[in-house]
Amino acid sequence: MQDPHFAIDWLEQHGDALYRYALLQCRDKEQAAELVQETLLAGMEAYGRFKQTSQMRSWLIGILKHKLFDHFRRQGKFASLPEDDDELAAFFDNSGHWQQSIAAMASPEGDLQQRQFSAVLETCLEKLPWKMRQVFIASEVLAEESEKICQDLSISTTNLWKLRQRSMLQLRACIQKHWSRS
Amino acid sequence: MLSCKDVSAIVASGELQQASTWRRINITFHLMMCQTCRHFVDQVRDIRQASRRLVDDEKAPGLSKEAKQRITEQLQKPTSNHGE
Ligand SMILES: [Zn+2]
Repeated sequence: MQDPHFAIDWLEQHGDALYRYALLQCRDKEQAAELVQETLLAGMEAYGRFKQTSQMRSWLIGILKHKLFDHFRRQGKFASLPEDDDELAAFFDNSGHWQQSIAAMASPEGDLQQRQFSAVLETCLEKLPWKMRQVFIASEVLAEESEKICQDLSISTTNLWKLRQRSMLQLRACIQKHWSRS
Repeated sequence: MLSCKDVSAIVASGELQQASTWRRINITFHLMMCQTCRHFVDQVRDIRQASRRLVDDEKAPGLSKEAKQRITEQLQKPTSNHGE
């Protein structure tokens, strides 16, 4: 057993970030807090294997992600879905033009609006199909390297590219529908 | 000539930085003429900024005091069969 002071420091410094990541993935506050606890306990056990070259927060998020992905795997979420190339037809016509023009949207300004915008983003993120959501969280929220994302989700680079495009198109449309500055 | 579909693919997949100079020039030209793609690019930027804040923003809501207390107690327990 390692010195718990390490883990208590981690809780102080990274607990909230771990919790927000867990909550983004499981949408259940109790379960998210539980996952943070499990992650810190596992981190204490595994601390000897931590390499100083990586960031503590990314390392802990990696442990948390393992736990989440085990759970997802048991739910069969990784099973590959049939490729659906018609999806883009909802957005573009045959010549590659937008089906519908996009109106300007006011950017969120100040803390309050940013918080409201984040809430809309989270709601819309929840509506995405699982794989798109994972791709979005990994690439845009955690800013992970493409190679790592492909490995974690067992997808090809081409697939990642497509999923990033689709998730962004769907999210943007959803956000514009729900976001108004007034 | 790039289509809106091409432009959206490059912007949304985050490959704009890695795109060749020629590609970027083409995109710039497209954006000069296409308002919808301009709006798309602006909104993607806002979405990206908000996304980066979802986990890392220290001001965003985090663990409750009670949850933190509970976790601290669990971490201090000398023997633990939690986690694994
Ligand atoms: Zn266009």
